[in-house]
Amino acid sequence: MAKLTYSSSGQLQDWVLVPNQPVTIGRDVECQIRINDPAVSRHHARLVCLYEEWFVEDLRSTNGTFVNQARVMKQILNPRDVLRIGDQELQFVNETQAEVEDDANKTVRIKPVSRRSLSTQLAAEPVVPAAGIVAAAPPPAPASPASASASGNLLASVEFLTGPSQGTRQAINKALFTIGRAGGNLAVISRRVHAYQLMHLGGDEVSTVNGIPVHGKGILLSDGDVIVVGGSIKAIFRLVAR
Amino acid sequence: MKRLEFATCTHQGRVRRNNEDAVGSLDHLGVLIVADGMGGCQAGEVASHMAVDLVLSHLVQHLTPELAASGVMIHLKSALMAANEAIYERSLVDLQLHGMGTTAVVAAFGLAHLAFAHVGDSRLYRLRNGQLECLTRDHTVIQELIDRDEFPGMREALAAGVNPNVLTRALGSEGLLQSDLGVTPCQIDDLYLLCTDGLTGMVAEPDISAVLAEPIALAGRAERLVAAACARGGVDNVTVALAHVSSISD
Repeated sequence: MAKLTYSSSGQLQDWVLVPNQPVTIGRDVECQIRINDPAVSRHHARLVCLYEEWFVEDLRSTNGTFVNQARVMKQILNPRDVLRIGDQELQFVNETQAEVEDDANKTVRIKPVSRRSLSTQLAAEPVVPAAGIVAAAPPPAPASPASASASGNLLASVEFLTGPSQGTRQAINKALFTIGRAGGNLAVISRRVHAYQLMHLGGDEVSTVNGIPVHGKGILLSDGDVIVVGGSIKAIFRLVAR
Repeated sequence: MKRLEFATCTHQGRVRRNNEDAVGSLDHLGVLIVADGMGGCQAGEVASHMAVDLVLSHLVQHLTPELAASGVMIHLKSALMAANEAIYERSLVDLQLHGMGTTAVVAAFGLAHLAFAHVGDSRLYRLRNGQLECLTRDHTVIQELIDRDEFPGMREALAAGVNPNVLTRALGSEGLLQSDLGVTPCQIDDLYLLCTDGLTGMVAEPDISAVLAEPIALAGRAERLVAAACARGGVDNVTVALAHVSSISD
């Protein structure tokens, strides 16, 4: 079950998110989650569930919608993401996120009936599919073959907050970008056509992404992800348009 | 008669211990198929090989060289449906194979047309006059979100955190199957590529195009595509099947 947790008039509130029921956030009385703050637009942002994932979408608000401090237009929500609208912070909680798999490259099929999140770490063992419903029936759309060269238009880099490279920003301009030191705690970011992926290569202290341990073959990285290698190196992954 | 040359190559890649991809052909009927299985404990291998075997055995019984493209498409569809049912039933019966599934892309070359069908994110490309064109549209969450105009393109969807590896359809994952069918005229010197995402996930389209255009034997180009995927990391199994149309005469 997914929900938003936030404090309102000094009270902690939970808003349970139900698929097929988008939630609008704003100053207007029509909004399901109402924030009475002049910095918040009337219809500020919307949460919508698409293919079992929750997305936040900014409704062209004046002051912007932020996920973990980054301004977003439309962004997938991962567990523990903090949404900020005006001065209001809302924590995204997804309690069915437990099924986690260690191989971010593995192709999986979304489960036909119950949900499972595949966003940060991918579930890969497709669980017994119950007979019946397909995940969603998309309306007919114009055919457009996938562009496979997406990462070619994106610039990936790592900003080091602590550790030997503290204060530097290094572009990821090769297939394998290592963080840490060989023989010690070591992680590598590998570049695929579609995405960037962090793997823990060595060392006893498992690297983490946004606090989630990186097991096996890795975690796909998104802009703003916080990477910790060996406890002493902390960095932010950046993925921006060229 | 049109002359067709086939070449296939499959490799487990540099990370995985097993190869869950499968590839097959019926040379005398002009049929090529590639499948990318999923599911633990060798279940993916079972699914992809079942798909290849079942589709080819269905087509061997029903296809004739004279059949019109519309007839071929009907048989492609029923072949995929039969494979889907068999894989799904086996996954229900055999505990070890619960949840297995596979992609499939199959191409059948007729007199002047190519009929094709696919499920999942294995693709069919055509290189014609130096232009590489993808003839299939992936059954993935990311592609369908783009098709629904939730995102303007692949780049924006990836930047928003959408995972590129999640399928919306697979052979064997439920009782009912929706496959996409297509037909296209084929010309002399067309080069067709069927491949799993182990290629397209690692090698960008311009690089695929460059290898396909190399002036070497077809089998050599298939091997070079696989080598290119491995050289760029090879994190997935990689399978390619090539078909070159070399002459058409009646």
